[in-house]
Amino acid sequence: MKSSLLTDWVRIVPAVVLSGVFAFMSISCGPTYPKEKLPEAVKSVCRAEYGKEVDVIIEGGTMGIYHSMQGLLDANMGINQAAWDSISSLILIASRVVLSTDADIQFYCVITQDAKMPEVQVVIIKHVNDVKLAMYRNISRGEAFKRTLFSMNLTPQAQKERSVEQIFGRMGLAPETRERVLDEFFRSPPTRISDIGYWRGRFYLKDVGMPEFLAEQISNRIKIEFRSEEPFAGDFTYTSSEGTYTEGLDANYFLINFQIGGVGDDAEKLREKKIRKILEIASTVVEGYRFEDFDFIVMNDQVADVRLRVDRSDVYGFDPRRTALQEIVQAPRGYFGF
Amino acid sequence: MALSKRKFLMYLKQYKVMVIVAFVVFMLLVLAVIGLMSLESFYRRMTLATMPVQFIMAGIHAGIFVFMYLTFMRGGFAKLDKAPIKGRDVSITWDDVVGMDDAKQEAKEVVSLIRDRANVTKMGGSVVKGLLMLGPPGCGKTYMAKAIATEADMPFISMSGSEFVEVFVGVGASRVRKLFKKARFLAYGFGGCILFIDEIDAIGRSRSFSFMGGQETNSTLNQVLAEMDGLKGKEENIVVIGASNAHEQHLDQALLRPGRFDRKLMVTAPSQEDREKLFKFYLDRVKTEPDLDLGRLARRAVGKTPADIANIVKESALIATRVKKPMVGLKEISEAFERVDLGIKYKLTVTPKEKEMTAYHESGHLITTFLNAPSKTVFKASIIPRRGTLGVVWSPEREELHSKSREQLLSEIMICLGGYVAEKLKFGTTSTGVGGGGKSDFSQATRLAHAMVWMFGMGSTGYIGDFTAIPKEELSEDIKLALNKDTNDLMVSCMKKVDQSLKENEEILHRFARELLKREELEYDEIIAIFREYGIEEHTA
Repeated sequence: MKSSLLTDWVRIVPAVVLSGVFAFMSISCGPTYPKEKLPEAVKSVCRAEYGKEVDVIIEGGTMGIYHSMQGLLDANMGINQAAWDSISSLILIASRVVLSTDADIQFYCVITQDAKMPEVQVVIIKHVNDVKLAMYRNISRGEAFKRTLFSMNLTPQAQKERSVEQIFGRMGLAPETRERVLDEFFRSPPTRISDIGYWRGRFYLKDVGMPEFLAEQISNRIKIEFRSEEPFAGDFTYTSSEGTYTEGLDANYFLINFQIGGVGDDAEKLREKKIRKILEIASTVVEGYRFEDFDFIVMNDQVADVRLRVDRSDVYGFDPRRTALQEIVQAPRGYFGF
Repeated sequence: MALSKRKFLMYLKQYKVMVIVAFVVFMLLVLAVIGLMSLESFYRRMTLATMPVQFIMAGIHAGIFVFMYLTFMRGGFAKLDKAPIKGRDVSITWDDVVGMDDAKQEAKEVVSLIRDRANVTKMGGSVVKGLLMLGPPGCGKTYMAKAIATEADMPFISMSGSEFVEVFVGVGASRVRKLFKKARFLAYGFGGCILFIDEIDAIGRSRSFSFMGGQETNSTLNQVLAEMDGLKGKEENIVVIGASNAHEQHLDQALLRPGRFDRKLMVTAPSQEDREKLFKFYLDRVKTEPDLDLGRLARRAVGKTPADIANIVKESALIATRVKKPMVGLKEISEAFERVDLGIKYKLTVTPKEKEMTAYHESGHLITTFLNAPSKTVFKASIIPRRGTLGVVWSPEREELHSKSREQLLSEIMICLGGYVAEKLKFGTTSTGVGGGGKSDFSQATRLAHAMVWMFGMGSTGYIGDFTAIPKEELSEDIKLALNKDTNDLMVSCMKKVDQSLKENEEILHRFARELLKREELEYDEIIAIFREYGIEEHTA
């Protein structure tokens, strides 16, 4: 009798233990980085694991991390390998933290400046869901790279303040007065993604929205395709591209400005090729994020000074090989040669 | 307290392995929890989220491994999961069982007992549990079993005895258990089930009680015996039909006792009448010439089994197709007979001397047979190589014989010696054509003479009895010497008679040798015609 009891006990115990473990794991699965202590947690991880001192701020659903380092830029004004590794570690920490927190963080932004030359900054903006998709191998590394907004620019606030200070200098204003005027009139939160930065101990960060992120991403992808990817880099001369999202009273739309000239005689053919590619990029981006809160896309060809419009349904249904452009693109007569 | 401690220690010792395994599993779990807790919440959640899938994948992998192991290393699941066939799907009725009237009658009775089980039990009779069919191969045991299944209209599970035999101990017995379990299940659903075990001698041989192996076969047979005894429930109408080519004496006595295989059916080679019916049955399925004499075919097929006859008809149809004949005739059937009995002719380069010697050798057989064996018919003589021989005389018995007289055995010895004597008569020397192999002339003759003296009391020394029944070491050297001398005397006397016979008919010997050298083959009609030229008529039975 006792023997059978023992046998039953031995049978039951593993099931009980397993159930207990799962219950314990389920209950104890709270966030590693609670939202109340998120900035401190990021600072603590950076300090503990990489010995980096960072500044962190949360703006709505966007987390900003600032780090100043020695030797960000080399003599050719390029980013050296050590700096890349450092930035990569910051991105990794940001990813880890935003994935293991209960704070509603949609984007994170890593801003890096050279300690000796703080006017130049490297800004990297990532969508948190893209980090998950890349981790699960749902998107390729190349696609993950294209979904990341990367820019190296002059710190917008620095540019603004330097100009104002020159004027203040000519006016002979006292330093206290200068600071007060700057605080009052020239130190406001940014309204565009391109204005994000860090200057003199202050974050200039905005809560990044999905539409403007996508507009920037379209612009970013156009730059990658037409500046460095074959065959477009050989056929076209890329000058600039810019994407914005406008919420109008009647309609919401993306405006893509681009200044891309064709290299060759067959202007109409190259123009069609260019528009087809830009439309393909726009289609990939909005479909990739299943973004439908827009009515149309306006492509502003600044070289030809022509605005082309494509409705949302046509953007979603666009097939770069089969779709006839004349059927979906509203363009002035003769733009494509027909 | 001390007693509790001792009990605890006792349990610990008793379940030592289990305790160790449990401890290891517990420690692994603790370590896994610690590991998981050290992960950041996202990775922890990811790991926990994928854990069920990982468990499923591990289960699938384990399942695949076990399946592959059982399939490739243990002979697969097929034998364990025999699909039953419904009796009516077998669709072989009593009408399809040609001949074998006695066996069929017995089988019909068994079927009626199976179907009318309720009445039998009501009357206090015991139900039939087993039916054992014994007989040489090709005589229709399996066919009879199928007919029983059809007529009884019950699920029919067929297995071969060899399917229970495995190198792993216990597998055979386990398969027997599963088979009977399935049969019981089917019997419950369909009111009965027939379990056919073909070649039952593979598991039903007499058990050996030694430590030198054979335990697996023993345990399989033990399980069969136990299962057959266990069919006692009212709803278990299971009939086990066993079939074997082996003689009854080779099977285990426990298997044969009443209560297990209650009935025994002897399915033997068909009689003249049955052969005729069989020829009719199989020839009705092919286009044949209208004037075929089935009686003659049946006489020619003495000793043939139903399978042989089916094969002959099949071969004859193939031959007719090959020669582009619209119908099968006697010629095609004769050729099929030869092909089945003598084998296919093949080209072998022989020297003229060898050929001449073979012609005389076969002529010696032919004349000796014709003159000294009235029970045989010389259908053919040939010096075309077949099945490793340079020539052959084909002389089947006119009728199936179940026993042979001293004279018949002597005539068979003489036939075997005919070739040897003919060679000696013509060339003054002999060849190796008389020996080599179990079916050679001399080995057959010697075996016959030996059996006559040692077993059948047909010698002339006065020793009567079957001396092979006594271990040789218990026989005195004198007896052995005398019996062996008697054997040789028989051989010598036979040879003298053949010698005398052939000398008396030397002209006929030369004639047949010449004819064989010229035509290579002589048919029945040609042989009879030549003998008639010399005033010799064929014996009638």
